[in-house]
Parts: sequence; structure tokens; C-alpha cells
Amino acid sequence: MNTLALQIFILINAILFGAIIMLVIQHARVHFAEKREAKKPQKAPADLPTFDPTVKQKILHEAESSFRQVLDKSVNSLENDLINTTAKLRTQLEKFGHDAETEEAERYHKTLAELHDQAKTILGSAQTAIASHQTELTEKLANRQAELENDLVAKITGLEQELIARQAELQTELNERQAELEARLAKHHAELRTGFNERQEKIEAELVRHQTELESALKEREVSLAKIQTELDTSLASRRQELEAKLTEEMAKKRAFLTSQLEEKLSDAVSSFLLEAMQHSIDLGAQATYLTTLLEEHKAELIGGVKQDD
Amino acid sequence: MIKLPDTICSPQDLTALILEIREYARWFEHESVKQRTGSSTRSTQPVLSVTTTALLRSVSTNGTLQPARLDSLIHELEDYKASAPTITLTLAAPAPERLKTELTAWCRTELSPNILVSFEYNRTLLGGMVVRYGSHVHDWSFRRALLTTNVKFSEVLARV
Repeated sequence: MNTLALQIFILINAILFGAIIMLVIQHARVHFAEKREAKKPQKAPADLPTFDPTVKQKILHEAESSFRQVLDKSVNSLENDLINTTAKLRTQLEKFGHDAETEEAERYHKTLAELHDQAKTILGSAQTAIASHQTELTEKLANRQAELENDLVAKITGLEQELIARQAELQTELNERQAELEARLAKHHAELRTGFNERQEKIEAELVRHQTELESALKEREVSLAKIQTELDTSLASRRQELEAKLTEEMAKKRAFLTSQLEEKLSDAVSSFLLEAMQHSIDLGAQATYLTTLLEEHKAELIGGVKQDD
Repeated sequence: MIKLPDTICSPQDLTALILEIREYARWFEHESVKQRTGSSTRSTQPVLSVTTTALLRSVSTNGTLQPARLDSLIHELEDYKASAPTITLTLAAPAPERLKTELTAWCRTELSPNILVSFEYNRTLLGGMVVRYGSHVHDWSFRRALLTTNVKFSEVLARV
């Protein structure tokens, strides 16, 4: 419905647009034809009056303005016509659309009511059919159930009888097998007992033998250990003596070293004390003879050194 | 080889002597030139030490000196300084001049006639001396004697 209205509206607009274009083309043809006429060199008839250029210009201006006025007027009238036509078309379309909408709505409601009635009748008939079918099914189900129950009872009794018979058979078989197994077990037990006794005797004999061997080996080991112990004791004693001697020697060395260190430190202390005590009071004048004597005593060394360096 | 007086002990003394003689030689030459040119201006003679005066007197000929002789003396002294051996004596205090002269005289008599003796002092020596000649060092100081004594210090203390 809406598409139809839209299509009609588009058609009307296309018609109007075509009409406008036609008008515009006509006016343009007239305008350009006039211009062409104006451009063509006109043969001056003998009788026609000649104008001044200024007058010509004036006439041209007046003609142009009047033509412009005519054009404006025609454009305005066309515009007004277009607006009026558009308004009229809009009202017509609205009316048309409204009518079409109401008609469609009525038709829709009518169809809907018919369908509703139809559905109601169908539904009623379906319900009656379902009810009848349901009753049939319940009857059939009850019959079938009774049959199945009868069959089940018969089968249960048959199975119970079979089970009792089978149970009796199994019980006799079990008793036979049990007796057989007990006999075999007793036999195996006796065999194991004899084997076990034999093995035990063998093991005991071996144990006795091993014990005697071990005792002899142990005695030998004890003897060798005693020998080694005595050797270790003697070597330990000698080593101890050596270490003690070494320790006393090192102690003596250390003592001597510390003593020399102490001597040196004490000498340094005394020298520093003498130095601090004497300060600047050392008189070399008193040592002049001593110095000369010192040089005389070591003259050979000095002469040897001088000759060696020369 | 020139014989230096015993008051000129060390290389430093010799250098001072050379400088004095050089200054005197410069003054002497200037005065000689002035004398030859007949100039009347005179400058004062540089002050010389007793030793320098004695040495100059010893090298003069009939009481007169020549510039060439002075130059040769300077060269001789410089050669002496370059070639003379040097011994260093380190004492416990700064040595007085008399002791320096005495020790220098002994060294020049006993060791080498042209030897130069340098004197140093080190209070830690306490006394005696340390003699150094080239690579030889002889420590005859009281400190060394204290350190190298055979008598144990602890025994000495015990006897006090």
C-alpha cells in the first residue's frame, strides 16, 4: 500500500519536473533566437531612421530591462503554479493514501475474522477426534497390560523351576570338587612337609659348618689385629717422640726469635730515649779523637773499597 | 793536579770556590780592559774568602795574575770537581769547621790526595759515623753498636 502511494507520488513529481524543463527550454530558445537576430547584420532599409549610438544603447537597456521583467514575472508565475500544484498533489496523495489504508485495514480485519472462525471450527472438530482417539487408546492399553501380566507370571514360574534345578546341580558339583581339592591339598601338604624337613636338615648342617669356619677365621683375625695393634703402638710412640722433639725445637726457635725481637725493640727504645734525652746537646768536638781513631782502625777496609771502585 | 786546601772539603765548597774565582776573573778582566783603554772609572773588587785569596796568591806569578791563568785555574778546578772521588761521612750532629778540616786532611792523606768529603748528620746515630763511598757503606754509629751488641739487653737490665 505504501509502495503504491510512493510510486504515484514519484510519477506526479516526474511529470511536473518534465513540464518545468519544457518551459525552460522554450524560454531559452526564444532568448537565444532573439540574440541571434540581434547579431545578424541588418540591411538598413532606405526608409528606416538612423539612431545615435547613445540612443541605441538606451533603447537596448530599456529592452533588456523589460525582457528581464517579463522573465522574472514568468519565473515567479511558474514558481507559484508549481507550489500550488505541489500542494494540491500532496493533499490528493494524502487523501488517496488514507482511503487506501482504511480499505486495506477493513479487508485485513475481515480476513482475520474469517480465519478466526475457521480455526475455531477446526479446533472443535480436532478436540472431539482427540477425545475419541484417547478413549480408544486407553482401552487398548488396558487390554495389552492384562495380556503382558499373564505372560509375565507364566514366565516367572518357569524360571523359578529352572533355577531350583540348576541350583541342585551346582551344589552337587561343588561338593564333588571340594572333596577333590581337599584330597589334593592333603597330598601337597605331606609332600611339602617332607621337603621342608630335608631342607631344614641340610641348612642346619651348613650352618654348623659355616659357624666353625667363621670361628676359625675370627680367631685368625684376632691374632693379626693384635699384631697390628702392637705395631701401631710402637710407631705411635716413636712418632710422638719425634713430634715432641720437633715441638721443643720449634719452641726454642720461636723463643730465640721473640727474644731477638724483644732485644731489638728494647735497643730501639733505649736509642730513642737517649736521643730524646740528649736532643741537640751532642758535642762532636769531644768525639773528634774517637772519630779519627775509628777511621784509623778501619783504614784498611776504606782503602780496599776506594781501590775497588777506582 | 792542583792541591786544594783542607778547608775546601766537599763538592759544594769547591763549587763555591769556583764561583768566587769566576766572579773575580770577570772583575779582573774588566779592570784590565779599562786599564788598557785608559778609563778612569774603577769598580770595587769582589770580596773573596781567605781560602780563595790564598789559592789565588799561590797560583800568581811574581805577585801578578793573568786572565789566562785565572781561566786555566777555573778549568782545572772544574776538571778536579768532575774527576775527584767523593766520600760521605754522616755524623750524629752538624760537624764544626775544625772537625771537617781534620777529617778531610786525614782522608786526603790516607785514602786519596784529591778526595772530596761530604758531611751529613743524623741525630739517630747517637754518635760515631756512617761512611759511604760508592757502593760501600760502613755503619760505625753508636746505634748500630747498640743493636749488634753480643751482650743481651735483658741480662744487662738484670744486673742493674
